[in-house]
Amino acid sequence: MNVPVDVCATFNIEGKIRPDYIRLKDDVQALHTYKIDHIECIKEEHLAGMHSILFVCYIVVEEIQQQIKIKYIIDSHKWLFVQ
Amino acid sequence: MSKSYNNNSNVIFHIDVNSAFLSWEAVYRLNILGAKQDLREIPSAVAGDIKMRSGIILAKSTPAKNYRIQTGEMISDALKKCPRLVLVPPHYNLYDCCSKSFMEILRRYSPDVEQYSVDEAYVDMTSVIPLHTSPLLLANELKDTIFRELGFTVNVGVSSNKLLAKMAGDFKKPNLVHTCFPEEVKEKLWPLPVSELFYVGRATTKKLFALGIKTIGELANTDLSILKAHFKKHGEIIYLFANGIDISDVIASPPPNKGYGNSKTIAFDVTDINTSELILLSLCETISARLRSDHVKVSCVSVNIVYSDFSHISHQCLIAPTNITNELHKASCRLFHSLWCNMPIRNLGVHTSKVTEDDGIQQLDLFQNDRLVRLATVEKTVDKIRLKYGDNSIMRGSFLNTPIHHMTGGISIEKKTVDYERIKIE
Repeated sequence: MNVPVDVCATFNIEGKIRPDYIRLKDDVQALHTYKIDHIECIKEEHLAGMHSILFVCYIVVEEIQQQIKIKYIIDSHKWLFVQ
Repeated sequence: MSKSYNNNSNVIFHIDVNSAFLSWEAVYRLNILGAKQDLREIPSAVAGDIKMRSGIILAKSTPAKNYRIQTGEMISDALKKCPRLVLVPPHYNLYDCCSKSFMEILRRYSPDVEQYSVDEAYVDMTSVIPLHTSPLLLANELKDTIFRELGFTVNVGVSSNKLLAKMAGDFKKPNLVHTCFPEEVKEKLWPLPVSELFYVGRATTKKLFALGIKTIGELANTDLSILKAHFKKHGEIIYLFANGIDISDVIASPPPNKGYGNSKTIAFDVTDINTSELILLSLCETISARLRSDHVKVSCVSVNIVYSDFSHISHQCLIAPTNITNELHKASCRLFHSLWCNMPIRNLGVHTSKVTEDDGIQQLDLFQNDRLVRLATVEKTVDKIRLKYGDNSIMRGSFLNTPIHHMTGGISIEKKTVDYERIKIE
């Protein structure tokens, strides 16, 4: 299931969105903030009539780089961690 | 290129979403909620709420169809046919969103789009078929675009008129394009059972069967005078349809409403006059808001009562043209008092007709001074507040501490959204 997450993002003057930081829970429900190192690709989607932007990006967790997918739902302004 | 298509004929597409409500819920769950199971691949259905006495199947998946589960049947009956049927609640805000996006894609292909229902539309492609492209290729491209962008499948029927396009769209589902040009009517339409024909319902099918007419072909070859004798004008329409003839155009702008109405199946049986009047008020509140937003007035009000034994009764009266809640409510109560025979009520409805444009002129009443003018001003202000802050931001005091919502009718709030945290999603 996709999980709603806290994201800190930058919106530039052209309306482009760049997620900078993401806060995720670990196995014991403790919150950790990770810097988004690199965005590999961005895809605008319109599935089920919902405007969303999918970001495939990388974060470093305990010195290991991991690929994650997060989705920004434009209508509700929510960020989802795609699992 | 389709052999039956020639460049001089009209090209009409009929596009129908396969199991619309269920498909839309499935795509939402897969792509937004991140569900792993596709509702379209298991026996599943969108159904109302038994507790609210609206427990019927609204849409079902293809695997559920194999259990002979039918749209409109009771949940309890459907569960007897398939005990492992997965039931999901309706989510009308999502349907609205999907429907709008679906129509937007259709309008990319042609400006002449007639929205026939929330999940169905006719598109006149006559003047927009590019050179060296066949309607069939374009229909396939449209079908694939909808699936790629929105995630759900549609059936496209292609023909030279609306009726044949609709019939073609219903041939075989899901995710397919079919043609039914006039030259193909004998081969594709005539062998079908007469009940499959558009405009032929259960009652007409029964009568046609009694006349020995079982297929569309048999209907098409029946003497028109026989059909007219049995079905009057309707006989002529179904005769023309069976022969693939339909002269109606694709109408891009919807015609103005001929009437405005609302009804409510109440969660409990109503046995007292005060509750009934309150329900009528909540129905009138929604109707009059719609009238004012469309800048129209009505001068005919009708009230419909369905009793707990499913018997029903209705009555109508004429009033001075109005869109004021109090005036509609007053007329509704008058009708209700003349109708009600003290039996428990299951459903109440208010319908209005004789619609005229709101020209800002109010019929004066000798004994009411400026009461109507003041009421109209108050209601305009209430409309503005509700538009800005939501329907529940302001309500009549008479609804306080009652189980009745102050604006009843249309899609209820609980059906518009779903609390997914309370549902187990796989």
